Amino acid sequence: MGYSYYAECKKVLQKRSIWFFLFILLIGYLCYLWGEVTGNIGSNAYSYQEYLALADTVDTEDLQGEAERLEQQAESFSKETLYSKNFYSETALYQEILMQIEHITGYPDYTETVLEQTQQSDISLFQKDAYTEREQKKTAADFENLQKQTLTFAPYRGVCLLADFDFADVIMLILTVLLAASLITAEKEEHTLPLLHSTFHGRRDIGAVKFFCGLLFLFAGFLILSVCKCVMIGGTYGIGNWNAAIQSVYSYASCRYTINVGTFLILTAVSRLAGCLALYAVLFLCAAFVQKGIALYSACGAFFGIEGVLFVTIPEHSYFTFLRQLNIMSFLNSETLIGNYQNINLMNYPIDYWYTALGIEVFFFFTAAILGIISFGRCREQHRRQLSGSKIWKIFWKDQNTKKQNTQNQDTKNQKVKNQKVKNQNTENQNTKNRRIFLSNRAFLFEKEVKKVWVGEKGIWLFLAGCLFLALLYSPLEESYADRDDVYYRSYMLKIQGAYSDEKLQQLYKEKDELEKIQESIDSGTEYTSAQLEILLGKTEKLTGLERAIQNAEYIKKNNLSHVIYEKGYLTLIGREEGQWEMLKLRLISLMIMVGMAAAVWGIETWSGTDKILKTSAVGERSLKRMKRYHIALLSLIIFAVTYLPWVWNVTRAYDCSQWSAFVGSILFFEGSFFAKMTLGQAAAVYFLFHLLYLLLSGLATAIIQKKTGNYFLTVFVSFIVFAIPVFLLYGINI
Amino acid sequence: MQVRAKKIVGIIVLAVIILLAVLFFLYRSSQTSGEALDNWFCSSSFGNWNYSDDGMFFYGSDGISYFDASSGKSVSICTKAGCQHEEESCPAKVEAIYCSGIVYDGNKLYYVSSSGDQDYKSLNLTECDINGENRKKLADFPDIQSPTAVAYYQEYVVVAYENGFDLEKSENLWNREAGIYVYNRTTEKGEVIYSEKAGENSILSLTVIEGEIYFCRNYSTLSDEEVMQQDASDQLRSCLYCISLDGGEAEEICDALSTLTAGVSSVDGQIVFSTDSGLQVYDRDTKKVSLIKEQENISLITSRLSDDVAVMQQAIQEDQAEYDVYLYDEDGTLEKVGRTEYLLLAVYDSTSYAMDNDGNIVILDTEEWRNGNFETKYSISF
Repeated sequence: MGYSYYAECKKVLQKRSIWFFLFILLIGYLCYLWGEVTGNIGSNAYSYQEYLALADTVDTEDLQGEAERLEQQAESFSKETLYSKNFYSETALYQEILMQIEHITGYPDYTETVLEQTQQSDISLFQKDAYTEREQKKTAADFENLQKQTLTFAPYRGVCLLADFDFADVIMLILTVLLAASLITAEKEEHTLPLLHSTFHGRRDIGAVKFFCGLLFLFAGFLILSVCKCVMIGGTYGIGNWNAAIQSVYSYASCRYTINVGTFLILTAVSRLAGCLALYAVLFLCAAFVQKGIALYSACGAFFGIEGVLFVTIPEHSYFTFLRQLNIMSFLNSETLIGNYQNINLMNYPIDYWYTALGIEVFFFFTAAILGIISFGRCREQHRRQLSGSKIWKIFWKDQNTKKQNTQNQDTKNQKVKNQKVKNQNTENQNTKNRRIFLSNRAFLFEKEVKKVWVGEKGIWLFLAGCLFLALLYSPLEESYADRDDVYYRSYMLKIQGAYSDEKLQQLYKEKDELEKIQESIDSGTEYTSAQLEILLGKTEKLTGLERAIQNAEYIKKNNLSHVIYEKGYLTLIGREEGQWEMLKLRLISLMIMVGMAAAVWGIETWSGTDKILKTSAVGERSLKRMKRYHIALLSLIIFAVTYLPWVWNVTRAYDCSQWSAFVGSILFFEGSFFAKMTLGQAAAVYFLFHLLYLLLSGLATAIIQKKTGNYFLTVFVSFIVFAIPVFLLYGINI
Repeated sequence: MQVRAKKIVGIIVLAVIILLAVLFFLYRSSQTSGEALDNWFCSSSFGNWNYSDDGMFFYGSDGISYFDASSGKSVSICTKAGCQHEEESCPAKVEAIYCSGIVYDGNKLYYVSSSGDQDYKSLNLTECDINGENRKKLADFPDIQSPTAVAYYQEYVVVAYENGFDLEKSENLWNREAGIYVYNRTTEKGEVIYSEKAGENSILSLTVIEGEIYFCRNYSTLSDEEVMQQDASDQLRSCLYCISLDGGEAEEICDALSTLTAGVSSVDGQIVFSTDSGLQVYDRDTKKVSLIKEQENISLITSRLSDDVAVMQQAIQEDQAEYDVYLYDEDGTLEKVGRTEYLLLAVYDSTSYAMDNDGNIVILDTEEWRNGNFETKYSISF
């Protein structure tokens, strides 16, 4: 049996293209981690050195005093004493440290408040609900234990980064799918299943060997990724105080378990691994039934896609929250399962969410593993039908008669074909003459190349499906407002938008004086009728929005900039604020269409077997490859136009975007940024040019992946994952 | 055969899964019959408090909160352990500019609110569990900005609205539309049954009695410039109207209401309301209005007493807040109960809500004060 394990492992290791792909993902992940700890991407606006430098200044003996000191410092930063590169990052850094300090000092009050809230069961309204009553009692019991916890301050940012669900876990998901496909589906596709079924150890044993080999690789992958993560984050941010109570970390303040930071990290990792193992067992079972790899990949893609969409789009308190709670994505977010206090309603009884998740994972793991191993033993290739003797005789005679008829028909056909050929040749000669007038050889070759992909490979359907998907996801943008102050701010900014002048600022000051006078007269106790008061209050309500507009105009004046801009439209256009999620969707969809078409462009000759014929042609492959590159360029233009132009139109229709000649630095958000000296028009053009170039690059690079994988769906799958990494990295980038 | 058997097994398994899913959804959707919401009084324009005999809902810094009249405790409806009610993830928080008409039928909580991306454009009716979880939007009320009063009557939700903000010009409108939107929860259909445009136009209370909506509308005949130049109070009209739930013409009953936010009371089939000249009744059969008691400074108080009695208060002195409390019963008797410093807001069989001179809400025992004892049980400050 030992040799069987060795053989199975060797089979998996021999699939070099898969390991190369995973290696690329690992490199991408390490780059992402480095970017995150240095503060260039991800949720951090500051680097680990800056974070630790500020955290070191905190005197842990007097946290209350330190909080006041930091609050005072945060009110007025000076360029000389900055820890980070700019005021925006400095504010984020101070907020992080202050949040940590205030959490430690306020923890006793916090637990007290939670316990008070559990007294809701005394209130008649909540007594009508049995589940609420039981949950309140359970919460009271759990939080009474936490009151005894002693918290300590330390730089705990590394703990959050280590525990968070990130790209490493996505790699684990990909590894899980690839393992299931390599171990079972590949055997079916390569028709080696009958051979396996005839082995000495028997089918079931081989199935078990495959299953455990997959587990081994999963463990190894998990270990490698965890080590990389620990080294990178532990070596930079560190994890603060290993022995401190986990409740010391503000993100996990409501963790119900009296464990320390080290134990929490280990439990988080184990829980996440359990989720991956359960998923692997289920995929192993599915692979036993699925004949082809493409069906497995499609099913996995659809499953993860649906789970991901449900996890992200279902609001936390929605009617369909159970779809979000009982979700593989939720289970893999083990830091939330363990670190946040949450109960699941099971038949009106509150059950710990983490225990529920673990129970489901264990159940699925063992059930799917047993069924998977048994199913592998029973799965077979398609077998031929057995016919009776008389049936065979009848088929034979029918066959003979059909053959005679066919021969006669064939003769008639051949004659017709000959005549048609002569006719076609004449037409072709005429066409060639015509073509030579209007089309060069290169153009003709390009036309044929385009036709091969769009018509021959049904690329038009993929393109139309992508367009349909974009159309379904399209919704006209409407400007939304947090509150009335936002509305007034917008109104004032649109009024003064354009070339800056002192008159505009004076106008704002004048209006502010008028409104302040009205406010003073209201506050001074002057008697007004209710109607008059309503009118006056309607005016003074504009003050906050007006002050924001004045702040903007003063910034323009101070920095000698040329234009005042209402920034919301431009920020949305480049994927900030409300545009962040939309841009991510557009990037992923355009990438999917691009790699789907590009895979067909580069692979059609290989899959149809005509690549050998091409190699023997007089002109050779070079011309054809050049045509393919032009085709990819054309595809990237078309896909770019179909994806991004409607977005630009949508944003410019919903928001005021008329100041394209203004500098990027006119927007407060971009103060001090690299692009500050460019105009908005130039910056937008460069921004979208990058998107076009990225589509072009991904289309060209798909050729390399296609050579390695040799299979359409695998090419698309791998290309999409590889080129989507930078897209996700860009999602959190801080310019 | 084996392939066929697999297909049959697959179909059976799929059918069982679908059946289980359907049963699960039916179970979740099935509602035990809730209590009637008719008795709730939602005063959106004055404090946005939603009263019942057991307690009142309000929207505060902790999101949707409940004040329990029997224990005197005020809590957020959020039962999420460790929640500080600050984040958007708190189930008690509603991401909207307006949230009113918060009522509970013993099974589900309902409220009317605007929605984040449709603020100033439409309102929603939302249903959720008592702890704010499992939210489900039941209906959209299009083209209405802010609710000024909400009433629940049988399967109807009646919303008085005001479109008083011009989003394009970013300014409050003096000359604005106010109206009434009626939504039927059974047929899931709604429509505007009443709408008018005028200066300082507002519908401040709704009372639904036997399929008829009695609403108090306040408006001015002057323009905003004219208002700022003279004393506008003489030009302000405070009218009581009646309109059927099904729509039609609104009938003006009187044009000098003294209390706009308290609504009206029904006593022995007659509608009781207070005007500048005193207490009046409107006979629904004869459509005639008659004066019961000629007196100044008398105000009707919202009441939901089951013994068909209307409550009113008369301010004694302008510089000192003291009120005489009267009860008007079906025999036509107006009985003085006593004198108090508290301004009654809503009266139920067990609980009465009032306001003291500092603006705090106080709770009185109805039976006690009906016997002349106005001692407060609890006090809440906002």
